[in-house]
Amino acid sequence: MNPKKLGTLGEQYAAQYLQCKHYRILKMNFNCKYGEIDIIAENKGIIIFVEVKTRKSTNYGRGMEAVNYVKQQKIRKVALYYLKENPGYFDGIRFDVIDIMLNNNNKFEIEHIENAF
Amino acid sequence: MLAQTKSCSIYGLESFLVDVEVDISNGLPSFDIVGLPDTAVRESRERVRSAIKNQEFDFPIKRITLNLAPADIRKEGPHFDLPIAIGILAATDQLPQEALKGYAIIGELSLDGRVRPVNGVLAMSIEAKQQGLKGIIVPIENVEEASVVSGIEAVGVTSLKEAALYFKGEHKAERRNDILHKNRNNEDEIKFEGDFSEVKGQENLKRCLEIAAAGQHNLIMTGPPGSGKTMIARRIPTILPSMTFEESLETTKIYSIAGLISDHSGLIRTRPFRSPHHTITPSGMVGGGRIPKPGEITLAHNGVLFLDELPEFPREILELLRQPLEDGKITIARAHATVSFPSKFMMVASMNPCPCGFYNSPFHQCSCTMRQIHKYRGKISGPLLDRMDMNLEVAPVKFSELEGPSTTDSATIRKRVEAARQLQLERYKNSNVYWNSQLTPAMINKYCRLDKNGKVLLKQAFNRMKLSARAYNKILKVSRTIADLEEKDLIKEYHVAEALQYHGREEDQIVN
Repeated sequence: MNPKKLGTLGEQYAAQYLQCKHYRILKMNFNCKYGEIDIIAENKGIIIFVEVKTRKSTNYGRGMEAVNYVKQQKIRKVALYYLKENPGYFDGIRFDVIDIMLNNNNKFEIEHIENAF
Repeated sequence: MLAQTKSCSIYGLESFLVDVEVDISNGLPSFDIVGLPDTAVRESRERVRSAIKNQEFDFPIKRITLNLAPADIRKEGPHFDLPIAIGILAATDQLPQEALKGYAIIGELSLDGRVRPVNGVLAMSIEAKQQGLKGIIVPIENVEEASVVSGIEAVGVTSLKEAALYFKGEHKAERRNDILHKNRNNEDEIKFEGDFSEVKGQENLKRCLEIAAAGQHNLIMTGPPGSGKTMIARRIPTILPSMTFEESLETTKIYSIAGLISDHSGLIRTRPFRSPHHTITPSGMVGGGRIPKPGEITLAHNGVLFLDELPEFPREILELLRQPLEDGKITIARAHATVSFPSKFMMVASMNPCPCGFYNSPFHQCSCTMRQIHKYRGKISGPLLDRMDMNLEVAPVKFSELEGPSTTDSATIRKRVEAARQLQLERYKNSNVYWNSQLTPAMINKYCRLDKNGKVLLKQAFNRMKLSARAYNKILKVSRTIADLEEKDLIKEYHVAEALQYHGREEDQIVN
């Protein structure tokens, strides 16, 4: 499985997971000139920007470790852009990271970090 | 999950207890240290991470926040690695938390998890004891130093794993207390380099140094080049009396913090002998730095500071010595900290009488002009000379003396010095004075009693030699030491006479 396919698979799985937790998916793969946000969701009036990281092994560390300062700043910028493009009422915003491990039995292990940064 | 361990940090020469609080919570993986850590402490993140991983523990991929309390004092040094690592293991339940109670932990980690020796362990051990802790975990190389303090269990460890196993109760880390006590009992033989018997002739100078060593009197030697001033000065350590336990502790503490205990063994038992070169800077001499570190005068505490070729030292540096010579301590104030270092040392200085070195020499013609001589001697200020209890002219060695048999050896002299030292310790037991040279005027009246002839002689000398009040006191102090060397309570006429001889003439007979 190539990395791109793995990423898409992970994002879809994460979206399902969020829906199970009664999150409303507003947008998948929001693109703009500043970059991309994997999932934008809403829950109890809070808009949540989710970065999904999918990995098959921890040889290069866990996925969530890759969400460093630069990546965080990027997501912040895109989020700001999104809010400007889609005006509307909201109680607050939040940034989450979802870390997905695809283990040897082709099963997903999911870890959801709320309010990650 | 929260965990807390204890460690120590150094401020000046004192140590203080530091709480290392580790909080591990969910969130993006990060590792932050707060509580005024300096660079070495901040860098411990990387060492701790690798060490934990390489000792087959799990490093949590979570949000780790570390606090070093009290948060208002700057923490320096790499010795926080081990307490931080242990704290993280405890916070992730890889170690039982309760076991950590009552222990201070000190040690630097290498990337593979071995524990490396650190500085200042003695001071930390003393502090841990005072704070009522029951044990202190230190690197194995430092364990002898730590176990000098009685009443606290010093545990030496070689690796992070060993420390962890100790807290799990599965491993008896090596305790050196017993071995040390054995060593302490047969420590009598201390090896010195050189011996007084190697110095031919110069009996007068040797006698003078014996007196100086017995009473810790400051001494200045003036003489032509090659007359043995430096040679004999380098042998001073061989005749110095041994240190008391308290003195040993003080000196070891200083050397431990300065990182100068080379083999990381226990107490230092020989008195320090420091001979800084005259290119030394002011902060090198009295101590300094952004966070003050001890200088040469503090390293010479309880020992000897030897300044060879005194006039070559910049005047600025010589003047710095005045206050420490008087007070026995130096207070260094810097933006980040103000600390006091002890500096009770015996100052031994040597100099030539003039730039060419042969002024007043019976064998050589001096080639200096009067102006040059004045300028040379003017480099040493009156107030500094005033603080020298003994001022001695050294004559060149004669051929017959060079050929002659060797004389008294250091061991014999040391025995006499030791006896005189014991007398002083006994006499000044309940005061804060330890040596004759430290006597205050009131104490001089009390302890330096003269016999009738002695009084007469001193009165005559006072008038004839036009002595100052300070010179009078100096002579009495030196006579006291001379009498002590003979174990006499009353100071006799010939004791005073000898002391007068070492007084040196005022303004050293420069004939215009």
